[in-house]
Amino acid sequence: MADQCFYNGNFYQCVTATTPGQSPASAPASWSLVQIPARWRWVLARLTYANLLELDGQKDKANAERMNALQDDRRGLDVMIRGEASRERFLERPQVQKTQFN
Amino acid sequence: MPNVDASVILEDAERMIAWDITQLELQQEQMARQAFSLALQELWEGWWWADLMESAQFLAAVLYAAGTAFNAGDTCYFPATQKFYQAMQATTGNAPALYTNPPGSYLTNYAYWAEARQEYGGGDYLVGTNDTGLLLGASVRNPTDGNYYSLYCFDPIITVAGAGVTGANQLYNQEGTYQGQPAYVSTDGNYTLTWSGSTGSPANAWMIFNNGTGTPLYASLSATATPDLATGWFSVDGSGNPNPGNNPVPTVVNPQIYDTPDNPACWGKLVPFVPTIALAGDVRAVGRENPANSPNGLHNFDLAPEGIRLPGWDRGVPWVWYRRPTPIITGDAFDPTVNYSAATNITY
Repeated sequence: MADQCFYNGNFYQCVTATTPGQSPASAPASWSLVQIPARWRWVLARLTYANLLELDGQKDKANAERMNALQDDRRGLDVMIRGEASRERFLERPQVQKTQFN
Repeated sequence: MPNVDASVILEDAERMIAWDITQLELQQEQMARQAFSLALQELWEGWWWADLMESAQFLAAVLYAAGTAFNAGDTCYFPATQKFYQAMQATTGNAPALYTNPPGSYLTNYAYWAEARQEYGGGDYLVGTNDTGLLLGASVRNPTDGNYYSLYCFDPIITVAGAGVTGANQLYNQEGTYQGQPAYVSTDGNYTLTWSGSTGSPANAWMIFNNGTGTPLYASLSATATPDLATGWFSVDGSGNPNPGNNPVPTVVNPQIYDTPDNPACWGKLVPFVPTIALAGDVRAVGRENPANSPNGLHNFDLAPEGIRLPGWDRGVPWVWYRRPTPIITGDAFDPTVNYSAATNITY
């Protein structure tokens, strides 16, 4: 069974099992909105565009757009990360690990 | 932090690729949502974004509860001492540590538990040298298998000595129960030591019998839990009446003998224990204080299939600073004919 949906312009994750017809509007307690920070808009749109190009088979153009999304010196992902990191006093702690597990 | 609708970003991207957003085909909409989902995951996991981070305390073992049944080898966390314990035998309702005054602190309830640790210590158990003198909770290494064991129970052995019927003077091992009390059989199998119950003669007495003939030899009218605590032993005849002919009467004691660590009735194997939070996710830091607010007390961790392992963590409830799980979205539009189930990728 599915556990997410796109509804009225946003993505939702199901948090309580629904019955047919229980949408994020009619059964809001069953759904959790995937919130997207507004400051991600430019990068996310660029990355989405790059992915669309790749899905369309335009790999060279996709790579160029991806680099743009990551490295734009004013709005790119790298700039966003540096800005976030500079606000973090915590960044200098050596014990911090970057780990992922699924 | 203000948010933006996903549809706004989708339209941004659709315009970039020069699609007419007023006349999108279903296939294009689906492709755009798929592309968006991939981009969202890349961005989400690209950094420890402050607005995606959360922190909370999580138990690194099962919380002890009086109503919970624990089996030998199970571990738990006991809040009163903030320590971890391993059950030495099956138990329900026996706390891992008991408040004792004096000394006015919690002492480990060694009859049922031992402190669970990553590493254990203790000298080798040497037969002939260590056969007496150890106390409950003693930790030894068994040279036979190299493992460590904790003494949690003395062998329920009874020693009968000094009886006029000399054959009765030997060790008795508990062999089940009779009349609701422990029943003991001599090492050679020729004598028994049991509780007579209300129908015996004499009634409600600890009695020593010749097992072959069923003849009673000695009795004590002390209503004690075990025969070693009984006093006033006297000799009896075949009808259970006093019979000085079997004098002198014996002494009946429990020498608190324990067997070697190979005997699971006396010793519990101490299994190396690493506190583990049974959760999965993207963890940035673990600490004794909240890592989101304090650099103090950070603790190393590693991520394993069973959860967040904390080598060296010995007490307390750890704080975990983690990123909210990435929403795994496929891009499918809401379908009013479908039963939706709770999302499975949210692990916290």
